[in-house]
Amino acid sequence: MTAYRDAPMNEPGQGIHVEDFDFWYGDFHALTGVSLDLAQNKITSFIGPSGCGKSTFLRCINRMNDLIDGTRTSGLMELDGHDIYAEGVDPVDLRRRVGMIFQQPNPFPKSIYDNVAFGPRLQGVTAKDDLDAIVEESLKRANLWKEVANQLNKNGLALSGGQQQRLCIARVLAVQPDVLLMDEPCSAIDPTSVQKVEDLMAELAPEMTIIIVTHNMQQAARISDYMAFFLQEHAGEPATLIEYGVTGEIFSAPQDQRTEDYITGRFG
Amino acid sequence: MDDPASAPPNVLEDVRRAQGTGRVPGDLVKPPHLQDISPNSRKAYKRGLKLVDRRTYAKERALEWLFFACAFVAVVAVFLIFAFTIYRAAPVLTEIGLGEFFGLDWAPSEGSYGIVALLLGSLLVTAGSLALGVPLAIGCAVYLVEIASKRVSRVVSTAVDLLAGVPSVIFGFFGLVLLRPLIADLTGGMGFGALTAWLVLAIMIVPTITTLTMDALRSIPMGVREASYSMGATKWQTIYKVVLPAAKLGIVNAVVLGMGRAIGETMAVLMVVGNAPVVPESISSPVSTLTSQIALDMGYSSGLHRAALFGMGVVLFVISASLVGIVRLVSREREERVDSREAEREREKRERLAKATPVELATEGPDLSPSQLAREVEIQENSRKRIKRHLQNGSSAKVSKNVTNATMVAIFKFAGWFATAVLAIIIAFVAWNGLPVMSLDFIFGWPEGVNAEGGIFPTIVSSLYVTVLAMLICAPIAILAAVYLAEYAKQGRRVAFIRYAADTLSSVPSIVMGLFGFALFVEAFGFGLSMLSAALALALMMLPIVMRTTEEAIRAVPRYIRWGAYGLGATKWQVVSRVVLPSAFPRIATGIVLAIGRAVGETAVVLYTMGQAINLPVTPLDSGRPMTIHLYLLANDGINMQAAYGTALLLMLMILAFNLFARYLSSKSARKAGGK
Repeated sequence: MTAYRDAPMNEPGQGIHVEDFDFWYGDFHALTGVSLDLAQNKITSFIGPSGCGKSTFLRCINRMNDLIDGTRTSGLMELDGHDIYAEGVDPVDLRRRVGMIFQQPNPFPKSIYDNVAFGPRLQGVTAKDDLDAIVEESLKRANLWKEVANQLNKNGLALSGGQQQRLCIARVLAVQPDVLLMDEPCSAIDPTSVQKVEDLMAELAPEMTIIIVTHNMQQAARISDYMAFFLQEHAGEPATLIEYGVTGEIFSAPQDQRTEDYITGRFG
Repeated sequence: MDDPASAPPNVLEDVRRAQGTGRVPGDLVKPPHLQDISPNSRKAYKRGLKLVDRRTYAKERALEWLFFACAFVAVVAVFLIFAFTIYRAAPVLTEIGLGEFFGLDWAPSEGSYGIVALLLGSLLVTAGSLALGVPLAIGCAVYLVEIASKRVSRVVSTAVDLLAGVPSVIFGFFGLVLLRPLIADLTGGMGFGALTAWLVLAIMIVPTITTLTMDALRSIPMGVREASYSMGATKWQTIYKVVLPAAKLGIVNAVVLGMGRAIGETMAVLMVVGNAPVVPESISSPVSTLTSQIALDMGYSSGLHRAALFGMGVVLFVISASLVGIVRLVSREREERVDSREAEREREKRERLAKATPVELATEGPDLSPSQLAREVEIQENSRKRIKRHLQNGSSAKVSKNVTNATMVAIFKFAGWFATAVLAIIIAFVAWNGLPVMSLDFIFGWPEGVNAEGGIFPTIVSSLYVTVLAMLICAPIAILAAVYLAEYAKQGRRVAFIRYAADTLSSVPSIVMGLFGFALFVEAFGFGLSMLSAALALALMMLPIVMRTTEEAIRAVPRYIRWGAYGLGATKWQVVSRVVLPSAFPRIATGIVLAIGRAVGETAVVLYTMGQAINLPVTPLDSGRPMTIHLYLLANDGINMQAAYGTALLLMLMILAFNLFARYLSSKSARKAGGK
């Protein structure tokens, strides 16, 4: 059973709504009974020990798990009132609306410009003016413009780790998704860059729903409005959502003993 | 150092003194108690540190020189091959003249030795086979790595790997008995010619190019693909816009190596190309190539004719060596790019550290006044709108992305299955026709009569004899050479030179290696047509292969394992012999077994070094006829196709067995490593 603490409720037909969601990797039942509404234009963090299914759940939201053989789901996962797992739904279009940032910065081995222009080009934008404008705007939004403005032809891989991650964010911003999924975006970059990425998230939050998986409890407390705690209690059994609600309340007075054990560092 | 008092007083004093004498602060200052000690000085000894034992030192140095000598064998071999082939080809310069040598007419009986028609034949055959084989192979690789499910991919890529080991004489045999009649029906004629050779060679180079392209595709991090998918790219868009550009250099390498294989291929071409040394008239008329003409004429040629054959060998050698040069240039470009990328990263890092980060943080910190914040938000909203407006200018594609995607994925799927089907047909064909012949009498009996009825026992023994002998010569040298390259040598020009030699050696067309073996071992050393001559030539052929796999195996041993041994006070040789080589052993064994598989299937090298008479070899100086040559002669004369099918099947089974055994070894070691 999940404990809810002032958990957000979306208007019907708005945002991401999940009901009794289960997930399997082949025979392995990874997640069970997840139900929640993700607050629109807020930051929600997913926390929990390694292997608790938080990343798996995150990747279900834009159907990245489709790329792995033999995965299947049950239950309901809605985006703006439409079941994203319904038959005939095109995961490719879904991913244009639900962007994703990964743990390891993964720019394409192309120039900075081509990296950012990748998404718009996929959508058929070909005019140089439009592309130039989008690239500049997106890089500015990602607070990277000042650093790379005069070297847009440089290979994206030549940037530092933190810059690469901001380049990946600019790349996503160039297609202006409604939802941004971030899978431990700060665990592979240096502390200064972490600060920049966190500032950026705060700036972006008013205009898009941000969901971040993190192992860093302080980070979750610092940046997220809502928090979801996942846990796999026994090896071999599926993980589930233990507690979900306003970040501050969960930190100050967790309802579930297991949540308290985790955030006070007793395991995980 | 916040608190100066906490530092040891003598060091601090030293720093002060240094600063007082005008030395730049931050210069390295040696603590005084170490200042007068240099390693290996008398003083070090007095202070209780033992000097290097002279005997140990001598032993380590001697071993290093031995390893270097082994590594240098590759360089010597390449030099010898080149020099000896040129030496034997000298009359081309002195008596035939370069002008005539690069003339059109090849008619040795009338004294004209022009090779241009043959050269054109080689180019025609190679170009056509590449045009057919390259798209198929790349499509197949893309299908296996990017599209196929894991299980399908595993099964098919195993099959492709195994087929890369099928000897060329079997492909030639397949072309001769199955493709040639089909093409004869289609074009009217005998069916010998460039078209048949294209098909056979295309089938042959597909496994090579597919395997190498798959390596290139696999080396691209998964994250890059995920990024593309998460941007809403379809599978085809991901392949076309991200994966293939990223793997470009690796694919170029694969194609160039495939080209080397096609141009140097002898037996398969010899059997289907028709062997008419004329300028090609049509793709279905008989032509001849450099390699096939050498193989054809070597047996009976003499004098100027033979010199001209060696001259053709030089031409082939130069072509294959320049292909290796191209590959190295391409891959160096890649390495340099990576290097500069790393240097760039370093620079960025330094700059970032140098820049006063607190200032930046302060300007971007959250301490914005409410009015500032409101303005920020407004700017942001405008930004979102602006990007969206520009995005809307995008035109929707003329053809739906899903249709394009489905079409392209289907094409790749077709390439994958087509390649697999062709390869399966070859195996099935040989197995179907060969099985009825299989019997103990066939395997252990002797050939009888003019039609070689009965068994093929002596040829099996000859094949295994020469292979074992070649490996006994090749393996120790190759392994020690690899130890030198991986453990002792400093990366630099010397190693680059040895690697270049090894790469060149591995690219020498087998018929050129055969020519060289004939000239040096059979004639100059006086070993005659014998197991020993053939084994020496084969050993040179296998040397770069075993060297490379061994070096990779040694490099795969993690560095911290070595550090562990060094930390316990082991000498370099102790580390290598007791830690590194044992850990690398399974992979080294895998490499050797694979090389054995190749040696068993080799034909052109042994054609003029071992002899062709059926004989049961006892001493290394006996001659014999290996299975591959037996198959070639039977198939070419068409006298006893039954025995030919049987020999082909047995040969293929032996090679598949070696390859499967190698796979078993490597999967076992992988499991062991995984279990730890």
